[in-house]
Amino acid sequence: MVIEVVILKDVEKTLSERGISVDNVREVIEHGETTGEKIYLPAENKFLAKKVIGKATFYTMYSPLEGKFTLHSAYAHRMSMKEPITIVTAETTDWVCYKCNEKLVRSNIDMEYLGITRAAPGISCPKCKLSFIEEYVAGKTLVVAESLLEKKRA
Amino acid sequence: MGIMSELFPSTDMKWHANATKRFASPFVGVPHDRIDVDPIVLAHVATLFGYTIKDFYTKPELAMRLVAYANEFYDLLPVTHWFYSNVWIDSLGAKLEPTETLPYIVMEPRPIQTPEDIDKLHVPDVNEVSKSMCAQLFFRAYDYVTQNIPHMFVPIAFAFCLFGMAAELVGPEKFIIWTRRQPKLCHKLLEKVTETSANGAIAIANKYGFAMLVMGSVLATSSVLSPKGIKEFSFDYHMKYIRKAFKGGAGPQLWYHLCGDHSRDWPIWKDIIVSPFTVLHIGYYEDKPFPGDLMKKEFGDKLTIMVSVDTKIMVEPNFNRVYEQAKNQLLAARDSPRGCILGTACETPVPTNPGNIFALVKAARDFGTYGTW
Repeated sequence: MVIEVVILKDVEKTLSERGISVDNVREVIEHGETTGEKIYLPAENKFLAKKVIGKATFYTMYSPLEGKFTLHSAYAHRMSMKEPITIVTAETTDWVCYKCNEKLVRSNIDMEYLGITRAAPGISCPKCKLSFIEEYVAGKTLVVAESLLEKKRA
Repeated sequence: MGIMSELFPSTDMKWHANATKRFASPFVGVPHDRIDVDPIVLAHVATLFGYTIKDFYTKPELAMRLVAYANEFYDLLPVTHWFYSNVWIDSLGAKLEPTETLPYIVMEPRPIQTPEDIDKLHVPDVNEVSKSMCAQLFFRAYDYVTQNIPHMFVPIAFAFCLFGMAAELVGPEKFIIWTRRQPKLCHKLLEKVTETSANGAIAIANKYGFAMLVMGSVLATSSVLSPKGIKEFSFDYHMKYIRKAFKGGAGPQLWYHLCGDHSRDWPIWKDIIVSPFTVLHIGYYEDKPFPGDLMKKEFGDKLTIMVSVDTKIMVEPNFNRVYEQAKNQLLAARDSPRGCILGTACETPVPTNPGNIFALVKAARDFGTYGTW
């Protein structure tokens, strides 16, 4: 599958700041498109896919248009995702699971880093349990958490 | 503050290194020494060391130093803290004054006299809230610690409790009646208090790099509201607060302090947002300390639990009673999968008998030492 990605200037800057390559982006989109393991915002035609590459989990938010994929954002975290430990079915989000057509709900997801397993806030499909970390959690909360865990473990 | 610093001997860094490893152990899954003890010391340490309650609340630099000194003296936490309950609401028009015996209280007239007053309330943005009395007091406290005892620094943003803070703007009794008769007004005000508090947390994170979020359901208890009411007027707003604060860069640590009786509403809190550094502390089950075994069973696989000794018994010179209660809570909860902390149900009262804090620590040494159970 040939993935042609359109990257606007401001998104390009974000990728550079976060150390995410265009190859990473292509790989994640390809994974989402071929496996169907992705979620979407119906009103905005935006998709979110994720893939573990090396020691990090990469996410891309994109919109398919005329055979190309416009990238809206990309982010990553080093903590490795395990299982959701709480699924709050009463708190739905706008995201919909592509496979199950169910609205994702707020959850707490076990994450592992440096051999330590602790939970982080996420969103999960209540049916298939496919789970995602949102951009603000990955870019802020988990970045600081990873750094604190490194210091505390030292 | 140079002269004040000369009043205190330097921290014993050997003690501090050990206390730091102990403090980190529940969060990194590496048991060290013994279960930590946090009796939430505040103005108690002022009177213990020859100052007044008013000194404690009006001189945050001194307060930080006193708590730091007491933490070493009692062998408690390797970090210091200072706070009062009516945080951030000065930004929403409340006039706060300290008294000789109490932290900052809201003076009459309350800023919300009529429903229309809620509509007129301006929610300060991060920049505006940074200039508030509350932010300035915390900045003084934290700047002092970073400059004088940086090894004991952790930036904390408090929100105790959003329901109680909204109630203080109206008058607690009137606000509680509104929850039944005019719930929409409560929600409108709670939205503004939540936004303001989250902006306060972001202001602290902007200045110090991150901000541990300490929040509580203190007025919103099973004694005041139904479980449905606590979900609607307290829980949901705390979750909003966390999401907004996280988006602004505050966190990642979360410390939930459920003060008072939570015998009917505790199941609601199973759905809280959890970060890699989360502590849940529940004070009472009716009029008894919240059972450690119930805490461990219901929350222990998700987060670090903090079990309590009845705050009321901390005043009496009956050290064995405190020791026995602490022992029972430790035996019930010490092997909680994600760690356990021993505390008191709420802030140790000003006239706390120091012998009782030593009794807590002794119980932690006798029954909370890793490897001996």
